[in-house]
This record gives sequence, structure tokens and C-alpha cells, in this order.
Amino acid sequence: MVAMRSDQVKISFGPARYDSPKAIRKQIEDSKQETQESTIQEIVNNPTLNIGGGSESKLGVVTSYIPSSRTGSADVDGVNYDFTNTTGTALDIGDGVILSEIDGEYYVVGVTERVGEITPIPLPAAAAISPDFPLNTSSLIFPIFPNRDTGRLLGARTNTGRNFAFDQYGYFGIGVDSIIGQNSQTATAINSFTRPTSTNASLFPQSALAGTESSMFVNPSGYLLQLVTGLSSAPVLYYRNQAAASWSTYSMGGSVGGFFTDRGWVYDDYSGWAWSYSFTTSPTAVTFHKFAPGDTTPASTGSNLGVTYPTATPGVRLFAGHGYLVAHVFSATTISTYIKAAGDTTSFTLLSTAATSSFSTNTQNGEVSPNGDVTYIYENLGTGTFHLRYLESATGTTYDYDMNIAGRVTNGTLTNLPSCQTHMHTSSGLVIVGGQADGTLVGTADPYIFPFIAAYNYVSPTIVWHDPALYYASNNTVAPQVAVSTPVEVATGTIRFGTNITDLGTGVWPTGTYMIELTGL
Amino acid sequence: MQRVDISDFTGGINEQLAADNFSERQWAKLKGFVMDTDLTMRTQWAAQSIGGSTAITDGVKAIGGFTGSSNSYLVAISNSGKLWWAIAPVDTANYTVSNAVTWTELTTITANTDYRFITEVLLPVDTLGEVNALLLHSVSGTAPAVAIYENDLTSSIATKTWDRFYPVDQPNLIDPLPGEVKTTSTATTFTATTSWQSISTFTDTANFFTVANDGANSVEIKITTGGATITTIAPFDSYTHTVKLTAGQTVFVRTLTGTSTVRIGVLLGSYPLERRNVMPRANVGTMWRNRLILGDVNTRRDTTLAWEATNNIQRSPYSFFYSEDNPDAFHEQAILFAGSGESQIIGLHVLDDYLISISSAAIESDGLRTFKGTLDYLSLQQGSVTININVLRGGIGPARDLTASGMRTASCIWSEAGVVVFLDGLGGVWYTDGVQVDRLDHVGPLNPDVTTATDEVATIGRYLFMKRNGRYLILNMMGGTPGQEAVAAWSELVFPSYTIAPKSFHQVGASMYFVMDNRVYRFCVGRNSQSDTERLTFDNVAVDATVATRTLADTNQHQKVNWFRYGMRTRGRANTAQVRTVVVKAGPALDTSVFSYSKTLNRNLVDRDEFVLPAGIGSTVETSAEVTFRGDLQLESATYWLTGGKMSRPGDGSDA
Repeated sequence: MVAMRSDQVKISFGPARYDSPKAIRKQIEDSKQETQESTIQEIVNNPTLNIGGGSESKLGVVTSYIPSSRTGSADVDGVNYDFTNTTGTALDIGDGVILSEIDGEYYVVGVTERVGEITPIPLPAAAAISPDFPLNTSSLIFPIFPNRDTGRLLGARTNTGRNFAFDQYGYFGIGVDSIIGQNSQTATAINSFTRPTSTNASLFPQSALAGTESSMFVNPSGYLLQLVTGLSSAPVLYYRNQAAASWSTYSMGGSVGGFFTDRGWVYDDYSGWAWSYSFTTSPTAVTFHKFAPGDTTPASTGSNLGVTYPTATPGVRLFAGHGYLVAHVFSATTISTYIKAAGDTTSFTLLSTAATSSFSTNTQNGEVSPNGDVTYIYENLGTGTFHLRYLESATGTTYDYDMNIAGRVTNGTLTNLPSCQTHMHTSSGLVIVGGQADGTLVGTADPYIFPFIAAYNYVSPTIVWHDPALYYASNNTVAPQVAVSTPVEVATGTIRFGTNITDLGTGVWPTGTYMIELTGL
Repeated sequence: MQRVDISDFTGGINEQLAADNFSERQWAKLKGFVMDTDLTMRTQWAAQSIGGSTAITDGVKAIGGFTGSSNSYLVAISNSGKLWWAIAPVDTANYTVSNAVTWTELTTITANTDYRFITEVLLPVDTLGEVNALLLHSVSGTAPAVAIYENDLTSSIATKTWDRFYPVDQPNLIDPLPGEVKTTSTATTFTATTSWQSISTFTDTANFFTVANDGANSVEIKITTGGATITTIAPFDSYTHTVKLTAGQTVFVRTLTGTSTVRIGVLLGSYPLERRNVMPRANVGTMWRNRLILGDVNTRRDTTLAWEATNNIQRSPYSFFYSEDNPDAFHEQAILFAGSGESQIIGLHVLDDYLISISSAAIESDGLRTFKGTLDYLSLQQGSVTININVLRGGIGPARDLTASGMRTASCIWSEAGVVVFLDGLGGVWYTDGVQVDRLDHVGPLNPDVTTATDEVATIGRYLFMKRNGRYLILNMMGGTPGQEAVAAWSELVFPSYTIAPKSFHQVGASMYFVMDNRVYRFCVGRNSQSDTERLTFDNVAVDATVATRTLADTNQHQKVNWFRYGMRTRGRANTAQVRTVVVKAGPALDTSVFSYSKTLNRNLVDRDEFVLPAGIGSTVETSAEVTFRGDLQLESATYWLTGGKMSRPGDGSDA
């Protein structure tokens, strides 16, 4: 017999295996593996880092304290440790503190209990970063970036700062645990990354909504909502499901102009309902509009839901969260707080009235607490720290909390960088604050600016996350170079957010957008 | 006595003569057979004509189809260019049901002999949302493009046509791009009615004004109350006036019928907008990443002249347009090349997430290209997205055919294998998985080394249909491991005598439709008990299937052997299967000149049947056997009985 070729037709099964999604997934998995083995280990377990994490953190009770030197000692299970207080809070004997060891020295990095005061919610010793995070979504084939203004205090106007939709339950139909965001900071397309399958895709073009300052949500019916900013004169809601060929829009009509323009849509994560309103001035009337799970299109409720629209500026402002829909109805001197469940079309209840002098009427970064109260953060120039302003819906009482987070940070050259950018409330009652920190704030000597997350329990803050590998080291004055999006509580005690470090072309520091998930909050 | 059992069919046909050129699982003929399972060979599927012989009065030349909300539909292009449609019969229909299908002419569509099927499109339709539509168009002629779809509210067939073919860039009236500064006031938007309206709010005298018609009705404009009409703006089109307004002048607008949303303003932004409601002329297309890709298109020779200017339209068969997110919105600059200036895009396919173009090979870089990334005109201009273009293999590709008529399907996706299959210009059939490129006919049917414009490929499930040089071959894919390799084997289809050869193979549902003798037929590939009773028939009229063994010989090629019996085992299946004739040859099956012994049996097969006959050829060096069957049956084995014969020649090899 002569030598035979193959006597059957051989076909290589497609599709291509090089640069194929399968290969890309492999690369991403490898990359994540490396990250998990190096960066995360460094962050979480390296005892020289003072994030309060790892096995070297200790909970103690202050036994002595010298305010002038900010030094003292604390008892930990019968052993006395000398410490240096790195928190912004003056300590007192009996305070519960978190001690972290750095090069054999102990530092107080958080306060868990203040003697003689109300017992606050225990601060987490440290938030644990979830496996496979940070996830660099800017280096994906189809990258995911935030808007230019990720946070909420920087820039003229933001709405919610939620630049990424975290579709934990796969509502959108591209798989559970999908991250959806814009493809660049100029935002021309919507991209996604589905973590369990490491599927990276370019879904469809960005909506006609300008790329900046938009927020995205996936509701339980599988619609991706892109919300226009509240101060827009055309508060259009863009929405589509995964199968749609194009975006749909919904405009509410009614009047615009003057101060009566803050009609941006708000979204409640807990119920999945989006809300906004339209109004007319002659006669003066308000109509609420909603996009609820099960709806295929936003629609007017045809009702004012019990809210009397004011004739005075600046009208009505909506807030949503933790299952509540809160409407602040403004007069020239008062804020009337109306509240209702976000997940139905029942009418609002007028709970209280507060003075406009004690609570901003331009609360563009307002958040709803688990109690249905509304808060915002601001830099108090008197104390040089960031404060939390708190309007209790039930009583109309306004509280002001000094969060003791330095208002300005420095990278060694610049000293005027505002620290806090955004905040939110966890279901456990903690206030989560995000922004940019310097070495002093996070307890290192590096002349860098780091993205950070702090937890505040109405008594003291503690920085629960920063990553020494993620920093910005330029003295460029164009701000912000470091930005943190508003975290989303994707599961009880677990938050997700994105942080963006911008490279203007001169730096060598890590740049890009990193998704972070923290647990234990 | 010895016996040789041949029971492995997985080598398919191998059209050779010498015994040594066959392996033990290859056969000289398997005509009228397809692989039924990975191991068994069964007679080909039932063939049924769709509708009566005169259902489509002027005869069919091409058949396509699409899936609607409630039915699968067939669309036929008649010889005179008319369009007809029918609801595809269910896969389990018998031939009488299929023969009774009613065809309906789309009388609202003007006949166009250049029409060809382009692709299925996700088409947004007012009041319906997105529908799956079958797009027909051509690169030549003047007939409108047509999309045929099902109105799911009424379960009826509807069409949309486009009589605009030129993607002229439109002015950017409203929104500058991110990063650009809006330097002047935004446009004024209003609703035009059939009465002249003065747009008094637009008073810009420093710039040329532009009017964009965003509605579905034509709009007329004029300046000042008594002025003459300047122009009529078609729906979704715009017009920039070449004279600025003077102080006190205003623009007047009205519709010819109904209302239309109109914008008036001045040009803003660096990038023009796409033209809407336009369908560039093209011969091939596909949908990729929500974009309609149209290849083998027309372009302007001189972009400073109007498209319609004399001799200004040129055919660019090497180019393709890509749409914006609406499939009928195109930029003129949203164009890419898939070959050199004399190549022609023959196929556009989406393999996984890549676009693969197949072009005729004019130069060595023409052929297969892959496109990876995102097609978005503005993003590409701004550099925020990239598209990677690779020449996967240059120098091979289908033959160029710039003639206007004919439905060219020289390439197709083979989904089950995850590959693209295409014909080359010299009779070869190739495939690519996006990385590797290889031929599918290294073994199997004899390569004619010539390609004609009527050759085509189509796939359904694990079967590749190839029409080549007047033959109809099937590549049957058998088992394989995803990510690795599959094996496949060739067999051949049999047809009754015809006047116009079978062509235009196209899968709809679980059937492979085709055109023969001006009528639409289908092979009922989807296995079901109904159509299985009609296997190896055309409208229940039997045709003969032929199986021929490989050439057998003693390992000593010069030794004669006494082949004294030949038999076959078969399994009759659903209908009355018959063994017709048996021919034992004293040489290769494909050699028509050798002595043979034949026997006509013409008897029905029992469920598990066998026959054994005298071979009748005496002592010969080589032998083969050819048997014809009818009906539904599986081949199980062929057997020779032989004894050692005498030496045909002396040991020295002489003829003494």
C-alpha cells in the first residue's frame, strides 16, 4: 500500500481560537489570577499596610491618651499596646479603637465605640475586598469607563454618580453579575463584562444622552435605564432592553424653565422603580411619572400623588433609595418632606417641614438613608472637614455631623484637592464615603493621591479601603484625576463601585478604571 | 475461501480507480445516500415541491426565507423579477401538503430581475417595534430595496421599500459631539402642517440655514410670504440653502400631506450626521454588531459632484458600507475595503463575533479578511474605538462575477462546525474557522479544477450542500470534539431528470429548499416519521440510489483472485425499499470499460435483508460491485467471497 493521506475530511471546529472570546477569557482569568495572587494579597494581608485588615488588626480599649501628641495606650485582651492616633477623632479613655501594626508600631485607624456617647454602629475593622477585584475594566477589549465626573461633588452638576450598572441577577439577559458601562469617557457605546463567564461585549451605541454625567441602572424587568441629569431642561429617560435595536426615550412634557427644572429621574435600587415628575404652571400642578418593573415603557401616573406643587422656587426635588421615594417641596423658606414607598403608586404623606436655612435646597447629591431621611455631604470650611447634613423626614429636624475627614488633601505639591466626592447609606446604617485621599489620610508617607472608601457611623470614620497600587502622583492641577463612583449595595453589607485614575499623558502611575467590591460593611 | 466485509461508510466517496488509492472505509459511489448517524449511510431525504407546478406563473429562479413571529416564510424571486411569498410548510408535512402550499405575489413590488437576497435584518418599524425582515436588493438597476417581514399584530406579510440609495452626509444641526463647543443657538424644532408657517424664531442672517425634515412626509420651504418654493425636502432628508437670510426675512415651511417634524438651524459640529431612510445598493450583506453590512456597493467617483451626476457612480465591489444603529441610516464615509480594486466581495459572514469577508482574488492580499472590533463611524473617526482588519488568507477566493443577474452563494456559514465555507476559483471548496484555512476536498469527489458562476454552497445542520460542476455533493459531518476536529465524509445527491438544474439552496426551518425546473422544492432534512416514508423520492416518485464499492484487489497486485460471490446486507426502513440491480465488475467501479456481470433483482427488501449472488466475473486482478436501491433503507455491509486463483502471470512478471 502506498502511504495514504487522511481518508476522511478533517474540519477544525470554529470559531477561531486565537483572540477568540475563549482566548480572551483565558487571558482575563490569568490576569485576574495574578491580581488575586499579588495585589489583593498585598492589600488585604500585608501587615505593613494600615487598612486595618488582615490578621494584625486588633480591637482595643483606650487606657491612656495624650491629646497633644495624639499618642496613648490601649488594652487588647489584657495586653497593653502603645499607639499613635491616626484618626481625626480625639480619643478618650474607654473608647473602643481599631489598632493596626505598621513596622512594629501600632496605630489607631478607627474608633468603634465612644465612651459616654451613644453607642454607634460598630465600624468594620476593614472591608474585605472580594476575590477577583480590583477588576480593571478599562483594559478590556471592550472597555468600561465612567463619565468624566464620576463622583458627585466635583463639577457643576451630577445626578447620582452611578456610572455603572451592576446587574447582579442577570436581569438584562447577558448573564448574572454583569457590569455595564460606557466605552470611554466620551461615551459612544455601552459595553459589558459578565464576571462568571468573563464575557466582554460591546452591546450597542450610547444613547443620545450626552455621555457625561449620566447614571445607569438595570431594573428587574431587564431594562437598562440611563438617566438624564436633574438640572436638564429636557429630563428624558433613555431605556432599552437587551433585545431592542435602539434606545427608547420618554419625555414627560410640561413646562421647563427657571428653577422649576430639577426634574431628573431618580431610581430606587430596592424596588426597581424609577420616578420623575412634570408640572404645569398655569394652573400650578405636578404629575408624577414612573417606570416600574413589569412596565415596558415609562408612563405618567396621571396623578400628583398628593403633592401640592409650590408656586415658589425652586419647586420639587426627588430622592429615592432603600425603598423610599422622598419629595422635597420647597417654598421660599421651607422644605416640606413628602414620603412614600418607592415601589407603588400610593400617594405621598407629608411628614414634616424644615427651614431652608438649615438644609440645602440644591441638594444635588442627596441620598436616602435606610430610615427614609435625606442626607448630603459638604466641605465645612470652618472645621476643614467634610460634614454630613441630615434631614430627618419624620420630624423635619436637621442634624449636622462632622465626619472628621479632612476636607482637603495634598499630594505634596497641591494642597487644595477636595477629599470626599460621594456618599451612600448601607442597609446596616453606615455612611459610606468615597473620594480621593492623600498619604496622611490613609496613613502612608507616599506623596500620592489614592481613591478611598471610608465608613462613618455618625461618630467617627474609618478608612476601610484604599489600594497602595492605585494612586495618582502628578501635581497637575486639572482635577479630578482620581474619582470614585457612588457605591451600590449589591448585597447586604457588600458594596460595589468604580474608581478612575486619569492619566493626562505625563504620569507613570496606574491609570484606568477599576471595579472594586467590598464586603463586611 | 476467504471473505472481505466492507461495513464502514465513514470514509465517504473517494473517486479513484486503483485499489491502493482507497482506504477500507471509502467507497467509489454513494449516490442518493447521506450519513444518517455517525456510522450509518441511509438513502437521501424526501424531496417535495412547494406549491403546484404553475403556482408561480413565470417560474422561480431563487428561493429565500425568513422567520416571522408566527411562521417561517418562503420568498421566491421569479424569472421575471417578481416577488412571491408563501408560508413554509411544517417540517412534518407530506408531499401532498407541500404541493398544496399557496404562493402569493407581492404585487406592490415592481419586478426587478436584478433582485437578490441580501440578509435578514433587524428592522425597526413604526407601531411594530423591531421585526426580522428579509432584505432584497441589488447593486444595479433602479428598483427599490425591499424588506419583507411579518406584521405580528395581524400575522400578515408586509414590506418596506427604499428608493434612496445614496448615503449623502447630512448636516449636523443640533448636537455637537462630546468635546465640541456649541457655538451658536440650537435649532428650532416644530411641526409642519399643510399650511405655510413662518418660522419667525429663526433669524440667523450670518450663516446658511439648513432645514431637516425628521418626519415621514415631504416638506416644502420658501422664504417670505410671497416667495416661490425653494425646494421640496424628502422624508428624513435635509436641505442647506446657499443664500443667507437677510434682515426681516423668515423661512416658511409646509408639508405636502399630513404633518412632519422639522428642524431649522445652522450647521454645527465637525462631523456630519448619517443619512436616514437610505439603502445603498449592494449585492451581499449581513448583520454584525447591530450594523447592517452591505458589500459590493456603489460609490461616487467625485464626491464634489452629486451622485446622480453623469458617470459619477462607480461600482466598488471590494467595498462595504456599515450602517448606524438603524439599518437604513448610513454615512458615506462609513465604508471599508475588503479587497483590492479589482476584487469583489462575494460573501460577508459573522463567525462568532467576527466579520469575515470573502472576496475574489485579484491580487495576493485579496481573499479572506477578518474584522474585529466595533464599527461606529464617529468613534472610529475619534479614535475611541478600533477595528482590526486582518488578511486571513490572500490569493484564494471565489471567481469574480460582475454580471448583474444571478443569486450568488459561493460562501456560507456552517454553524454546526463553526466555520465559513467558500468555493475558490478553481473548483475547490474551502473552510475557515477564523484562523485556519484549508480545503474540504482533499479526499472525496474528483475536483473538476474549474468553477462556474452557478456553483454554490449551503448548509443545514451537519450537512454541507455543494453544487459543483453540475454535481450535487453532500459533506456529512460526523463526530468531533468542539475546539478540536470533526471528521466528515462526502456523498452525493441524486435528482430526477430536469430541464433547469437544481440551484439556490437555502435553509428554512429544518428543510433545505431549492429551485429546480422553475419550481421550489425542499429536502425534508429534519427527521420525522412522515417525510421518512418519502425518502429517496421526489413528490413520492422514486429515484434510484447507487452504491459502489471501492476497487478490491489482492495485496499482490499481479495476482488474479477468484471473486465468486458478492452480497449486501441492508435494512429496509419506513417505505417499501427495493434492491434493483447488481453489477459486479472486473475492475474499478468508475471504469466504464471493464467486463461486468449484472443481475436485476427488483425485489422488496425485508426489514433486515441480505442478498448473495454469484460474482460472475471469474478470476480477475481487481473487482468492484455497484448496486442500485429505491426507497428508505440503511446500508449495513457489502461482502465478497473469494478463493485464491491462479497466478495470472509467471513469477517474472512477463505475460507469457
